[in-house]
Amino acid sequence: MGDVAEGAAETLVDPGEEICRLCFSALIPVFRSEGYPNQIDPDTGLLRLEELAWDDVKTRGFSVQRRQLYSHAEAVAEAQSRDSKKSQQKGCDVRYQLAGVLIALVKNISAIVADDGEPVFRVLATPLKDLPGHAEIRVLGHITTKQFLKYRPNLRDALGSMRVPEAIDA
Amino acid sequence: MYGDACRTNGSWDASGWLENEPGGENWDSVKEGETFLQPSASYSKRSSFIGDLRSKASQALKSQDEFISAPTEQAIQSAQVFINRLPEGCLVFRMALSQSGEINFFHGNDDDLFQILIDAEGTVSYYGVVDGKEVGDSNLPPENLPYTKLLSFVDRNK
Repeated sequence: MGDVAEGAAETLVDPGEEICRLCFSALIPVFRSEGYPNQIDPDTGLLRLEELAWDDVKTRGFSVQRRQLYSHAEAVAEAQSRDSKKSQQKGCDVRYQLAGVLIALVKNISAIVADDGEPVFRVLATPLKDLPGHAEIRVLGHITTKQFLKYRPNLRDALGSMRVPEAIDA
Repeated sequence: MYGDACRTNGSWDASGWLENEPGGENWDSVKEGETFLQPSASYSKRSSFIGDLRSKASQALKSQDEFISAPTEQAIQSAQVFINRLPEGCLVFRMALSQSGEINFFHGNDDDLFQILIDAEGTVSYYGVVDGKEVGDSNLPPENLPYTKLLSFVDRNK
């Protein structure tokens, strides 16, 4: 995505803020034979559970953008950048484009608590040089893979249904 | 009969079929016009799932970039062990790769799921609710998964 902004410290995003996660579509499957980049389950209208990966929330960070520091234009530019890279990689026009966006209140993600009453997920502000609103959803350190599986549907529900990309600016 | 044995042991042995294939130890004794035993439906299903897994992994490998990782060989091997050890009654599931290369198996429906996740190291984690009790564990070798619990989950949902 980009380099971490110099001197940036990881801090929690304010619970009252909203974060957004971009969803993409393409003319041809660019990853799986089916199901990607169609990241939304047509039966539920929600993110497919496999899109919430353990390695992302544990190690890499599940990338989102703080809505107040992000724009629809930036999202479109991101999709264009990916389209260019993917079309070059695949050797054909994959028509990678922005399909929509998931928007969630940070406090709804923090409200997912384990049996001990402690939050399962947290949203960290992780600004990048070219993306000051970049943030990451991560599990707290003591959460096991089993617990992640238990609460993964709750995180999916907190992210909600996909909205039109223009909703980022609304 | 065979299905019962399979459920008890929690595994399935394909070696009997393989011996009769070209190059197998029984191949020379196969006479022209002889009636062959047909592979069971569960053998075909398992083969189909493993073929699908390999196909998805291959496609992911070709698509790797800063956002996408293909499943590791350890993950694929574990998934194959998992598929081959599934009781016969548990062969209806959804299999999906994560962008980070994890292999997911979903039994049941969205309201009542039994999830299995295989990570890059090939270890298996699972979670579900069986007979009102939560069952789950993290980072097991695929051989140690409690397949009987999964079978109980599937049987209860029939």
